[in-house]
Amino acid sequence: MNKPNNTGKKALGSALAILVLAAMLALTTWAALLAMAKTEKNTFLTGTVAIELNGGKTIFSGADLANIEPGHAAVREFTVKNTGTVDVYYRLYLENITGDLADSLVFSIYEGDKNAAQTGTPLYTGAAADFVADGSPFVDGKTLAPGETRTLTAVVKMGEGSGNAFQGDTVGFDLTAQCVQARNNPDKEFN
Amino acid sequence: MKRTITTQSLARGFAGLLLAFALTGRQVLAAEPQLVLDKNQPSVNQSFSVTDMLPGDAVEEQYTLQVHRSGVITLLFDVIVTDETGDLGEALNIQVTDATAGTVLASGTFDQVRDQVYRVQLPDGSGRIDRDFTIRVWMDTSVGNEYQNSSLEADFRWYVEGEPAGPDEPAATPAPGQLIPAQTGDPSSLALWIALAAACALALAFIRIKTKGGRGQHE
Repeated sequence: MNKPNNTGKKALGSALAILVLAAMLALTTWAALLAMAKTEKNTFLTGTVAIELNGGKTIFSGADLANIEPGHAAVREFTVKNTGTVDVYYRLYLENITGDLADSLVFSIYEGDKNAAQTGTPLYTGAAADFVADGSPFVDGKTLAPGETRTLTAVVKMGEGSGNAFQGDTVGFDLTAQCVQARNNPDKEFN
Repeated sequence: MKRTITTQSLARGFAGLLLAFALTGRQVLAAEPQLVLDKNQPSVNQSFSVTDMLPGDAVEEQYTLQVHRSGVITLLFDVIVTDETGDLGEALNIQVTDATAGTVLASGTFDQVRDQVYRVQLPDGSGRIDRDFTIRVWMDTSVGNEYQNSSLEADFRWYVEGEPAGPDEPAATPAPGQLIPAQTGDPSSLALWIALAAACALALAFIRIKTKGGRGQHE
């Protein structure tokens, strides 16, 4: 008659024993985990430095400077856009200059559109021979933020004193934009 | 009678296995050192999350490691690179300083430091001691454009000499003059052991219940 009670007590005892043993097993696992400490997923991503000149489109076409006369100028607006992820400095200069007419040309850079060029003070003025990377390129003093677009105007003028020697001459050049990171670069080093 | 003997034997067997696991656990818990990085403090023990890194940039984090130990223990530290693009490990530098001792523990590019194990000998004693570390990561100004738009992800780990380093990790090679102790456990099988122990517990419970039910029917 006592057997059902004994059975129940023994079953309860077994269950308690199992619980205690399982808890001790869990402690084993926990102890193993605590023997290590770590910081996970430390991530480092580098930025990009990139610039786009006038959306890739030509600024001065061949017809712009054809038949130019002393004292006359060709005026063109263009844009410089920061397509990277960090602030940059940028500079402009000529490359691949061809034709004798280049010796009579003076380049000026103005901030803003054509109207601003008519009344404003140029940011830069220099002869074509000097307006090169290892000569005297135009370096904008202000940084260009990621995604920012700056409008500039270039004026190419034939010197008023240019003589007949330049009659029939031609000129060809590439206007190049180069950028460099602004951070950690207080001297605006481009090399 | 055969059925009773078989179930009793099985029950004893599973109980013995479970007891063995538990006794081992008691011993392990009593003797094992414990390492803790309290990540609730915002100024320390945080992971790096750096974007738009440029040549000349440097970042630094502080770590305070709580060590609960009994006796002499040796801390091990390593860097595990878990993801990388653009071979950034060639150009990204890391320096780990044991700030408590004032010594540099590891220094070099991630490619040089990864898969090396660095040791810190802690003083003899029992209870808790705190050990401070500083990790600094930087890019030289000479790093070129080829590393633009690159990434690197890494874990920084502290563990105790003689303890398993962790599952599925490449075997660590010692730095010159440093020794790596043999692993005393196989952490990759930990899940299996846990599953076996749980199965033992369930089997024991099942057998006990069935045994009691069988006796009740026969009686």
